[in-house]
Amino acid sequence: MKYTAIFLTIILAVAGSAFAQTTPPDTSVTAAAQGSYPAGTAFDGILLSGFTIGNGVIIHGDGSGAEGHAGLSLIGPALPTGGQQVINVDVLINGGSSSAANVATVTGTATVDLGNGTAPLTGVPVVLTIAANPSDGSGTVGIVLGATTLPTASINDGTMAVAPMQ
Amino acid sequence: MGRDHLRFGAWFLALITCLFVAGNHSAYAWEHDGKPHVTAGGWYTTFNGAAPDASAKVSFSVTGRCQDDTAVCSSTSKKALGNYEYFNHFTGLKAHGKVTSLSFGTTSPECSAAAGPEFDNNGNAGTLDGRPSAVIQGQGDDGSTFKMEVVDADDTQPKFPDTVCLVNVTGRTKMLIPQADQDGAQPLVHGNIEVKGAPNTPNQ
Repeated sequence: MKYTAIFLTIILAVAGSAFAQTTPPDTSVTAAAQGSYPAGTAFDGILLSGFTIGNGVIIHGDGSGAEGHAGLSLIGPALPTGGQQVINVDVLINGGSSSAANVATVTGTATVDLGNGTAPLTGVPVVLTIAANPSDGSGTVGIVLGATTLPTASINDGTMAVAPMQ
Repeated sequence: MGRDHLRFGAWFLALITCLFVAGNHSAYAWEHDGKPHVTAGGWYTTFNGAAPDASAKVSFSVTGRCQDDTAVCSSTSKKALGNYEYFNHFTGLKAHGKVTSLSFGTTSPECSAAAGPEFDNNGNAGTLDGRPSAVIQGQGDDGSTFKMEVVDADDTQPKFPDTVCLVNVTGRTKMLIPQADQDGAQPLVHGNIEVKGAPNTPNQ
C-alpha cells in the first residue's frame, strides 16, 4: 500500500507539472509570391528561371505536427508551341517547425506535374524553408524537391509571413 | 472496504490520471483538432483586373481559427487568429496582413449562386451547397483589406474543385499603385482548401 501511495503521488506530481507548462502558440506560415532562380538551376534536367508559391500552413505549437498545403509552380523553358513549361507541385504539408523568429521549415509529400505530358510523379518528399521579413513581407524560399535542392531564392514580388497565432 | 479494494482503487486512479495527461499531451493530439479552422493555399485564374480577353494568375494563402475555437469571431469579439496573403501576378496587386474576422459554416447562398452548377470528373452535377466554408476578412499594416469565402468542395462525393468566392481585395502594387480585385467565384487550378470543424449551417 505504501508503494502504491508513493507511485500515485509521483503520477500526480508529473501530471501537475505537465499542466503547469504553457504550450507555445501555433505558427502561421503564409505566402503568395514569386521569385527568380540563378542561371543553371534545374529540376529533373529541366532548366528553371523562377517560381511562384501560394501556401497556407499552421504549425501546431504543441509539437504535434503541421497541416496545410503549398502550391508551387516552377517556371521552365519556353515551349516550341508557345508559352513556358511549368512544373506544378502540389504539396500536402504534415510536418513543420519554427526554430527561429520569422523562419519556418515545413515538410510534406507532393504530386509533381512536369508539364510535359508525362504522368505526374506522386509521393515526392518536399521540404520548404520560408524566412519572412515582418516589416514588408519580403523574404526567401528554399525548396528541396525529392533529391534536388533548389537554391534559396529571394522573392521579388508578393508577400510572405511566419507569425505566431496569438 | 478491504485492502485489495484500496489497492485496486489506487491503481485505477493512477491509470485514469495517466490517460487524462496523455489525452492532453502535445505528442498525441493537437488541441484544436476537430475545432473550426482553415488552411488554404494555391492559385486560381481571375478574369478581373487583367488585360481585356486575358486572365491573370492569383496566388493566395490563408490560415485562421478563433482563439476560443468557436465558429464565429472578430477582432473585437473572440479574437480571430491567422494571416492572409494575396498576389495578382498580372497586375501586381498584393495584400498581406492579419485575419480580423472569421465565420465557419457551409457555403453561403451568394457563393453557391456565383459558382453555379458544378460537375465532378464523372459528370455528376451539383452545387457547392452544404460544403464546408470559411468567410475570412482581414486587414494589413500595408493598408490592404481582404475578404474571401473559401469552400472545401473536394472532400466529399461528388468531388468538386475547391473554390474561392466573393473575393474583394484592395492593396497596392510593388510601385505603390492602388489596386482592387473582385471575383464572384473561381475554382482553384492548383492548391488546396481545408476547412475543418465547421458547423452545418450556411455562412451569410
